[in-house]
Amino acid sequence: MNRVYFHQKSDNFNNTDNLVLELFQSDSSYNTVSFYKQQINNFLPWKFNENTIDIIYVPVFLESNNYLNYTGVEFALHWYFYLSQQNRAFSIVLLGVETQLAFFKHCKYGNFLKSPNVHYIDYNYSVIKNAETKIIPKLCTSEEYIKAIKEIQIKRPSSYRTHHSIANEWAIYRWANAIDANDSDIENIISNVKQQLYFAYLRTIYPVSQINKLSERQLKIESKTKPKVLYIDDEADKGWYKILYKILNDINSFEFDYLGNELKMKTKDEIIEFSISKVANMGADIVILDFRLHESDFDNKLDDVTGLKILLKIKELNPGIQVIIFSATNKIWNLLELQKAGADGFILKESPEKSIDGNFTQNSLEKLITELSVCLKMCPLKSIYERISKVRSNVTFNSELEKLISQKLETGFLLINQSRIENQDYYINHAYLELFQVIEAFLYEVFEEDQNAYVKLNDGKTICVQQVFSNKISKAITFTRNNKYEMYKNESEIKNNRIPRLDTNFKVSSVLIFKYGNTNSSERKWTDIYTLRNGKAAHFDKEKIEDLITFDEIIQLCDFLIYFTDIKNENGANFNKGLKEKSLNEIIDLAVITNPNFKKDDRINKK
Amino acid sequence: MIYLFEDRKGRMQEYIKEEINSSLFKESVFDCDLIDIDKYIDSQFNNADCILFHKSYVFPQSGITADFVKQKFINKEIPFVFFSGGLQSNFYEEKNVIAGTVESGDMYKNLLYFIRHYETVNRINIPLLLFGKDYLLNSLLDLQNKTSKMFFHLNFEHYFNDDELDEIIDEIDIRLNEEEFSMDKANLTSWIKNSMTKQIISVGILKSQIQKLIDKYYE
Repeated sequence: MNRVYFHQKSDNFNNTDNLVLELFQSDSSYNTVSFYKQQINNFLPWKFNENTIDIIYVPVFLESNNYLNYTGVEFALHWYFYLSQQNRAFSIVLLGVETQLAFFKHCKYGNFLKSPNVHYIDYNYSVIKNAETKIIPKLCTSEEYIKAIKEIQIKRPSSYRTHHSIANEWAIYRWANAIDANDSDIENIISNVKQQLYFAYLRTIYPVSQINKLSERQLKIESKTKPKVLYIDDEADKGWYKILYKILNDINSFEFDYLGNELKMKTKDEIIEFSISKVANMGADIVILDFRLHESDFDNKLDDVTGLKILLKIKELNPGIQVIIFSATNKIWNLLELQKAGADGFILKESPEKSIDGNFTQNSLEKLITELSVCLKMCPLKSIYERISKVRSNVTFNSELEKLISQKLETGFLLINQSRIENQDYYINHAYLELFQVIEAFLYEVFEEDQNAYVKLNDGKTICVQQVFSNKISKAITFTRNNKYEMYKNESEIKNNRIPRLDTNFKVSSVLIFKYGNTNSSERKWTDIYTLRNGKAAHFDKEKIEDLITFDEIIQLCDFLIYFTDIKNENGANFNKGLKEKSLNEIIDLAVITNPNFKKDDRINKK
Repeated sequence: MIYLFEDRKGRMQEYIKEEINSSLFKESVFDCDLIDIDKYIDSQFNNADCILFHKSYVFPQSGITADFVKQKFINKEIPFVFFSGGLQSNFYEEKNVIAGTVESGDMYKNLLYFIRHYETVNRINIPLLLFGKDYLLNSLLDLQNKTSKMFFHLNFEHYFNDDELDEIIDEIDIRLNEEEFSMDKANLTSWIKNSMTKQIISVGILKSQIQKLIDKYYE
């Protein structure tokens, strides 16, 4: 029988201590292990590395200055948790000076006495010797142990105010292991998770799986651009910063910054203001945001939680900024509220009970990579929104038009955002059509047509670009072989008495040339945009990826919109190059020549 | 004066709902350059009777650490307690000055009792700050542990001789210092003294007397 007696030496090692130690050391029935208080962690099971112990003897009062701590009991519990998972018979003998009843009352872990294979005897040599034959380790099932261990009611240390902070450290421990991230903060967490009784308790009641390591290849995010990522978490400096830095910067070369400890000194409002100003100043494309950033967030109702408020403010600043919520909360109503507020992704910090699932850590990390990939793909939304805002600010001179265009822009933006969802990627084509309609709406402001057509100038004057007289139509521009409109006049016969409807291309081209002074209609890629609109944007096959509009094409359209809707771009270069409108008399004279039946007396009527 | 140095805004309010009204308690900040630290302590905290300091205090000036500040106060013989999340309650003597560590939540839980006790008896009672109302139990357990170690090798039926009883009286004298024990301490000591030369107190009997004393306070 391998009996081990653990003895903590006093700092001022005295005769009484010496006497006890000598007694055990001289007794071959016991292996005696002694240590000073500062060394105690080296004798916890995960470090001591001893698998053949049958019976452990521990005085319950290892701490010589604070007997109320019952550090011997905590030490014994560590061993109990460990041995209970080894599937072999063992016993723990607590050596106490109080009566069993007094110990049960005073020690917060009094229920430990009720656990299988736990004994409490007097701290007295003759009592210990007499009990040797009575203490026989029994084999118990892990279910029996877990049931008893739960009864001990190990409380979360008061320094961890919530389960959230436990999950936080636990997740750092798991993730850092999975990706081999390391620094002194992470070291502290790992040793904390291994040494803290509460974590040992959690590891025992939730028999956690081994951690599958992830290779750098698995953490690689395909990207042509290098986005700016900001991480906001008051616990960042505990080790999260290093983990995310490794993934985002070391492996993926993204620009990465974070807000951590500096948040702890701030009030809630200061945290919000500080975070938003950092997002704006850094020009963040992606924000990884903790949900609860202030102590009061654990008591507040959902609406007041700092993370939610920051999310709303970010989306107010620019809804294209991608925000991933990174939190230990898995309450569905929290997630729904965050989603409603515009969260673009969620990553759950791993709490111990989740680690029973062997793949949870790996899945969480893979989910992070997936969420980041989607956000990365959607990053252009930020600059699209900036462009859309510019278009909106261009059209403030006509409230009806402003309202109409705002609706189109908003719907367009929403559709692009919706295209992030799997199987909805074709929404981006609908977005293109919606944004294109802004051009058509704006034409009401700068183009006028009945039979004749005019480009409208800012001062109220017009330039004629189509004139109909008799059976002829004159146009100020011609669609050339170069696939664009150029300033060549042309004239054609009216067939079947029908004047053909002017298409958007003609109208926009006329505005580009005569209002904005361009030599042809290819300015700002208009020809490409028009072709695209009538081509794959409107006629696409959902299943064909090549039929989908790209973000670059959306940006090209937005850039055109910024130019086209800005009437300050008006340029007089071609003001005098439109059609010379014929006077009424000229038209009538022409009508008489070309139509013999036309009577001059009809002039007034025809007028 | 008890000085509290806490840099985590709002934490105190998290634990203590009512405001602490005491002319003997002040919240303060530690804000000086390294070079001026002695002068700063002398001028700002010359009336300090006890310092409660956040172990992870963030100093505006570089070069100053919490441990350095502690040494400065200890050198001036001012009792010093570190508080922080994750610390365990512990007290000890350093250069003959009482020092301690305590978990933040525990400290705030006991702070009001600690201040009231100081106001009432004009004595800094660090165990009270660390252990709250259970601080007396800690002294009793201390006595119980020390005596049990002394008799570890003896049978419960062993009767003490006079030398052993003298040693026990010494231990009682060292361990039970609180005023609350004065009556019981006197009774226990005189009972032992009266038993001298008679060999009527055994290990078992003494153990049960000490346990009775503990039960009296903690029944």
